[in-house]
Amino acid sequence: MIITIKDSFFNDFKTREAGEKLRQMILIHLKTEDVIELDFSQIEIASISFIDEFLVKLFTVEKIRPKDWSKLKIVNMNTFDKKLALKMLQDSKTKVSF
Amino acid sequence: METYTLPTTISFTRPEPLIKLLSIEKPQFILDWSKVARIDMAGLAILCCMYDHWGERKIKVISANIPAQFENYPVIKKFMTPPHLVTPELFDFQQSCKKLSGISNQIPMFFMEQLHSTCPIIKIKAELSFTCNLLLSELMQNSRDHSSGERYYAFFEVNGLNIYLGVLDMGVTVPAKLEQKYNFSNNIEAIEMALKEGITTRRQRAGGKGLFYLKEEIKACKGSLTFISRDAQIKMFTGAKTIQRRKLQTPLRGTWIFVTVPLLSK
Repeated sequence: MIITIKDSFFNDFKTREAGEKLRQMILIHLKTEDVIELDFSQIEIASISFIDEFLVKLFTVEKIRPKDWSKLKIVNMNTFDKKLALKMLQDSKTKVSF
Repeated sequence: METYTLPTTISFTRPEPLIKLLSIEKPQFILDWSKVARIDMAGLAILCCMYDHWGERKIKVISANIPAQFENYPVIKKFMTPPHLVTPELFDFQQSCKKLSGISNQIPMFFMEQLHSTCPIIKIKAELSFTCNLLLSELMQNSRDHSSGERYYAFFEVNGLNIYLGVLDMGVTVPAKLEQKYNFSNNIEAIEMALKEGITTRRQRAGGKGLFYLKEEIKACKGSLTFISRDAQIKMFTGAKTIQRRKLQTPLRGTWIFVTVPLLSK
C-alpha cells in the first residue's frame, strides 16, 4: 500500500486537519496492510502542525505498538522535513527513527 | 475635514504611528501621503490591514499626495479612491525577492516555491528557504485558525543582509483568544504565554507547538521577532539575547507578527 502525499494531499499538506486525516488513513490501513509506504517525493511539508498530527501523535495519542510502526515506511522525505520530524519525535520523548 | 499625515517610513520598525491612525473614529478624513519616502513589504501589509479596517467601517478616507513611485503597488492604487472591503487577493504583489499575499481563510501550499523563479538566492539557499517556509506556515495557520478574521496578509522580502517575513491580521487578538482558557495579568504576559510550548486554545486537535517551535527556529538562526497584539508589543532579538516589552498607547485590534532572519544564518 503506497500513499503518495503529493497526490493525496495536494490541496493541503500543512494544516492540522490534513495531518489528522493522514494519521487516520494510516491507522485504518495498519489493520489490513503488511506495509504502508508514505511517499513524500516532490513536496516540502515545512509544517510543525502537519508533522505533529500525522507522526508524533501516532505515538503520543494513538500509542501505536512497535509492530505497527515497523509496517510504516516513510520514503523520499525532504532532508529538512526529516530533520524536523526526528527532532519533534525526540522532543516528545519518542525513541524511534526512520 | 481633518487631515492626518502618514509617517516617512511605513514599516514594522515603527508601527505605532500607523496603529494610532487606526483608532481615528471620524466618518471621513484626509490621509496625507506627502511625507512617505519608504515602504517595505511589511509596510505594504500594514497598509492592507489599514485599508480593510477603514473599508469595513465605511470610513471615507481621501488620500492626498500619493508619491508616484508607490503607485505600482496594488493596495496603494486602491487607496486612490476611498476604501471599501474587497477580496484580499487583489493586493497581491510579487517582484524579484519581494512578495505580498492577501489570503482568505486558507493556507497557501506553495508561497515560498513561487519565489524560486523570481528570487534565485532563495532557491540556492535551500535550508534557509525551508526555515522561511516553516515560519510562514506556522504564522499563517495561527492566523487562520485563531483570529477568525477570515483574511490575513503574508509578506516576504530579502533586503540587504536580512530576510523579512510576517503575517498580519485584524481578527481576534492573541490575548482575547487566550483569556478564554488562561489567566494573565496583562497582554504582554499573554503574548509571552502564547510562545510557550503546550499553550493551546484548541479543544480538538490540541497543538500548542507552532509558536513555540517558531520561536526556537528564530533563535536557531539568530533572528528577531516583533509580536504585536492588542496593546502589547514584544521584540525578541535572539542574537543579542534581549527582549523588549512595551505597552502601546493605542491597542491594535488584531495581531501583527514580523520576523527577521539573517541571510547568512544557514
